[in-house]
Amino acid sequence: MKTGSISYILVLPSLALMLFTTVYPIIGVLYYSLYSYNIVTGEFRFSGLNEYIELLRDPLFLTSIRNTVMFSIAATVLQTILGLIIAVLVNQRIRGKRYIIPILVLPNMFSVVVVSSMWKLMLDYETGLINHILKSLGFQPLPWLTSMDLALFSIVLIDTWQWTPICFLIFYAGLQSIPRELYEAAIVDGASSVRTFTSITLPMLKPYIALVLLLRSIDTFRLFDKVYLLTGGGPANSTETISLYIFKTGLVFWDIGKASAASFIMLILILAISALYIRRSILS
Amino acid sequence: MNVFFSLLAYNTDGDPMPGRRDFIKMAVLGVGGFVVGVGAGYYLGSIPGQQQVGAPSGYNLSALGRDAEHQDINTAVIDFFSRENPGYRVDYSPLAYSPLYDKTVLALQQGSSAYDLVYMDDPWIPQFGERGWLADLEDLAKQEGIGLDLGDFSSVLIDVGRHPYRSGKLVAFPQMGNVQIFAYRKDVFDRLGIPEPKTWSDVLNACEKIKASQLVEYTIAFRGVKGNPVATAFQPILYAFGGKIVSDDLRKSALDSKAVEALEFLLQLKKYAPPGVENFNTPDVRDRMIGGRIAMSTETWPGWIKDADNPAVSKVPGLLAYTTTPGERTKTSPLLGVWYWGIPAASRNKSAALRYILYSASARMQKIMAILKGLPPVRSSVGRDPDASALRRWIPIQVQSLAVAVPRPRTPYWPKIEDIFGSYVNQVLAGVVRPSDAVAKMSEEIDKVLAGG
Repeated sequence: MKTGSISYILVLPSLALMLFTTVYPIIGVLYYSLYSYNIVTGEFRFSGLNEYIELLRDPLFLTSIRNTVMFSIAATVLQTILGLIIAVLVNQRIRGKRYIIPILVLPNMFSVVVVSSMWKLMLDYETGLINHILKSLGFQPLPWLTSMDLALFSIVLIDTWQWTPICFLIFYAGLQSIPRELYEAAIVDGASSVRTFTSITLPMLKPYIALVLLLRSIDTFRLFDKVYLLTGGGPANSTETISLYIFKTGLVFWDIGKASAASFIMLILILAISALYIRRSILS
Repeated sequence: MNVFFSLLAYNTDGDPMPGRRDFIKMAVLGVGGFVVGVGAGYYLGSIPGQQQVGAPSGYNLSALGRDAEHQDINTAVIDFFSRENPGYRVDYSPLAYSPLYDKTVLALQQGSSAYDLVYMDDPWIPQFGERGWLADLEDLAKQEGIGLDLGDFSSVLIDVGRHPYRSGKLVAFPQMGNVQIFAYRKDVFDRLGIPEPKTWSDVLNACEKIKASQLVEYTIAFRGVKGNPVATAFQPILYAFGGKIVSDDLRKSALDSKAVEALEFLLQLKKYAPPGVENFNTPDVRDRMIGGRIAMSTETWPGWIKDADNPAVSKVPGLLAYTTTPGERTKTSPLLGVWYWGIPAASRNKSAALRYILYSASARMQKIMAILKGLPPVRSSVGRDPDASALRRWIPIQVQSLAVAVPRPRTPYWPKIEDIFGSYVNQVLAGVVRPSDAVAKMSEEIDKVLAGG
């Protein structure tokens, strides 16, 4: 048997599993998105693109897209910048590094339920720790989760607290991989620390920055758990996200057709975000 | 082995990278493998004689129910049942509200015989009844030669268990008599000389006096978070002002100027509530009530105050008084939230399941559970029982409220309607939408839902 044929056979099980767990569900979602299908009422009729048209006319769906995009951009940028700053600081010659790194990574070890419950208590308007600190410093307490203007921002902060450690770890690994000779040559040439950072560190970290931006963009775009636990999409739909919308449509109202259409739209949006990075990777 | 290592060293041997034809071959093989795999899965699944995992047999019953205090009560009943009925065994699977609803819908929709008993919130009954997913309990009882003794239940409880409402088959049997009552700090009211509130205007007047006295941190609180919580908290006010959400024939929205008036009243109450009330849920209201930080709530459920007189848990033992939900233009209209047992139409143990349901809802078991576990009873006789009310002071008011309770509109589209209603009431509370605009938009969206859109 030729080497080539055996390689195909060996790859086949993984390929079949991947196709079954990704391609098959996507085809299923696309199929149901073309039908008006409700499990509880029993309705099942072909409706073409009607579900998509209704979605694009639904103010709540459009609000959920807007909120999701805003959250994704804010959280991704904040986590990337903070992760980079922390990685650069930790990469210096400091004592006790091996104790600092595990502590920095700790927030990411908690489950979403624990993180959300903890922060809900800390952000409580009357009894929360954060407002207590603000009051003791002479500031007014803030309605972190009950104000339309602050609720989404509060969730950005909570998500940043939990996921910046992962960004830090990726950047830290990247910094460790930069050859020391480059920095030594820069010192010899008389480059300042700022010039060294902008001309050596940042360019060498480009692939890592792109990776962090891609991973966090995709992950933040799928925001559901924190919103579900902290605000339920309120106040006044200010934290309604696409995932929450799909969950309610599909699993509360059992409108499988509309939920499938919304899921497909979400998939297209995530692919659009990923396309830039994938194209860049293929070209390089 | 040489072949294996040659595969690992595919590139290092200098062999060319896979080209386009190679990828196409792999894709075709992959799709082929996938089709074979799916086909094999269907074939194996269709082999007769395979028992589904978890499917009970004989006197083994499988029950799908709620967690928290419901689990506490139901497992205690199961314990009694098993001891007094040797040979019967009931496996209880507890779930939180949303997962229970999801799992129940999926199990019933698939015609699964995995469960013999399903525990349901009353708004679910029209949906399940409409699809014929539940067994006819009266028919079943007749076949078994069992009398159902419905006289000890308020008529609304039995009507709600029927589909269609009032006139149809009895597809669900009441188990837990959850209904809104009104709880208030009697010590505060007595100190300020305020009589027991009978109308919502009385409540508002009391708010003004209590706020001025500063005897409690906040006068009133209610659930304001969008969706079911605020929809449920607001409905007794809406109904008291003479408003309705859906017309009696369930074909269109019935929201009108009375709903606008009720919303404006809610905004007046908000002035006396803690900041952030538009994001309050059950724990925020319940904990403040038994923590002594508020004097009243627009709604109180028996589960919230079952430990109100327990000094180990409550900061106000013996200080809360209970009455029926205030009226205004109409008499008191507490919202019904009763939990029911039903038997899936696909169950293979319907007879045994019915015996369990009737045991659980018997006067004896209802009284035992009311005393031991704080079960809000569904039987009127238990509401009059002095032993039950001695320990749980709210029971007489709870049973009295059941008799005049208003069920949520009996339409299968209620979850969607409630979501629309709850979303706009939340927006009114948050100050984003005016009451008149909210009512207009709600009506339009609810009409669309009821038209099948």
